[in-house]
Amino acid sequence: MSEASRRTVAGSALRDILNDGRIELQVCGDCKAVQYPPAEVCRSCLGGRLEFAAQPASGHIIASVLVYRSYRDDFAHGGPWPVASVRLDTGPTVFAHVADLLDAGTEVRLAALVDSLGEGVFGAVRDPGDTTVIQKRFNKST
Amino acid sequence: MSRDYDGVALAAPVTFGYERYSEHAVPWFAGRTLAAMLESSGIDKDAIDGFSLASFSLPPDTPPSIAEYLGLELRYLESLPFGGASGVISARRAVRAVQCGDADIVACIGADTLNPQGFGDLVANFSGATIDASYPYAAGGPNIPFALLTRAYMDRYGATREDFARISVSQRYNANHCEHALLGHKSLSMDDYLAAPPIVEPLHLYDCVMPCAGADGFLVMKEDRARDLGIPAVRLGGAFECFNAYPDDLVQLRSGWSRYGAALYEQAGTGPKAIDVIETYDDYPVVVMLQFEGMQMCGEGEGAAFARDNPLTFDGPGPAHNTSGGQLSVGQAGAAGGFLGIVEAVRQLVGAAGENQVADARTALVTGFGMINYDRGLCSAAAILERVGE
Repeated sequence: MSEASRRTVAGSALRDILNDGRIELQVCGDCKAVQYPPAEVCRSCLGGRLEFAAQPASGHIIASVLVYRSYRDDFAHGGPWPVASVRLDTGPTVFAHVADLLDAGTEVRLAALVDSLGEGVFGAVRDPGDTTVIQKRFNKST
Repeated sequence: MSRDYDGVALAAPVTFGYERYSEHAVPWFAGRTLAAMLESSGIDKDAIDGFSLASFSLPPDTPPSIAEYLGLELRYLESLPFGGASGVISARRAVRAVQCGDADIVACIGADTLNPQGFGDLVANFSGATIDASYPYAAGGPNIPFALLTRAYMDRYGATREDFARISVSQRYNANHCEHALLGHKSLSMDDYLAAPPIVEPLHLYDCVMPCAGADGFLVMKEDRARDLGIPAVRLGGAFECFNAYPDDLVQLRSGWSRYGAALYEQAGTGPKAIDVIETYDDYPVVVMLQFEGMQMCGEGEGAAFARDNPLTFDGPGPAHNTSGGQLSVGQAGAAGGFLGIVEAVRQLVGAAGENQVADARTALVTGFGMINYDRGLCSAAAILERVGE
């Protein structure tokens, strides 16, 4: 595995959770709002007790794109890389790797994947087949 | 509505040192830009008591250390971390400072240098959200958020690549008539645009700006002072700044322009049809369309039609748009990109543009948009500028 990419403290915790194959997001201990991107303070009530907890990981595609050029080296080859924005049913928007371009409104679930740096990341998948496609793409570019 | 901006002027527009890469650091760009502003206005360096600086590549220096570096003793010093909205915000706050007597003459400058690694470093470390939630998804930098936005805009309103092309192609025509535009020596046709390689589909090469080094700036002082000096000047008819507008919108199809655009026209005593020159923040064509819509040049979702119905060139007919070529053809010099529009607007209104001078330009609209963090831009701004003496 190459050197871990830089993350915030909360971002590192999420990366480790995804690396374990779990899907968790931070939930505010005070108002229960689900948080993403990882944070230290609740965006809704400014509470300071955000805990990672298992989440219903369903949502829908807002938009998807094909990445041909990226400033991150590991996406420079093996592309194009399909990436999507996903609105989770619990509220937040999550960027995620996808198997292919998906139309707006397509129903997806978050999946825990390991990218070509060996780091836990989100996929957004329609079925287990999508998970396999994305994971294979990462393994190939390792 | 906020108080008027009467009695204060913007003058001495300067664009300095645009090049693809530079070995110079920010103090060079800031200092030489200030020198050009002083020379063109006949003002002594010691008369500058206010400084307003926007720069991404400034560290390890800071605005106070730049003041020391340039030998300035100041009573007003502003640092503007607002990217593409920094020029309008710089002007608005400097005008307020002069209006309130907190400074006599403020030098407003956006300046950035660039080396071949510089832009990659900037996007890799832009913010906590970028580090955790964008970069692992290939989304360092603005290309992916704006590709997602472009896709959503196309889905929602039926805009096509040909529609976006009209923004890039008309701006390149303007750049072909502007000396400092880095891409001004190259033509760009609709066919060239459509045949360009993909960057992040639906974005292709000519939807994206070329990062570069350079600086843009202007001086702010009392109108009387500008008149005594005999230098042409413009006034701020109105201005606003807005941060994190409509945070609950699923996709950012509007920003502060929708929130405050109508009030801005009211404050300036004008309307969208009276605008001779529009300078939008053009990091991508879709954002230009959102600014047209938010500032009521057309209705919501009609940005593509507006670009079809108007040539958008400096020689018209209709409103001139991004008359220097904008960032799409001049280059994006970091935070100076946020000053490019307002400096070009001042230049047009005082009649100091070159071949690309708009005939009888009296009123300009300048819009800004900056700091793309995760899935949206966090800063928006707009100003209306009027030729003094109108």
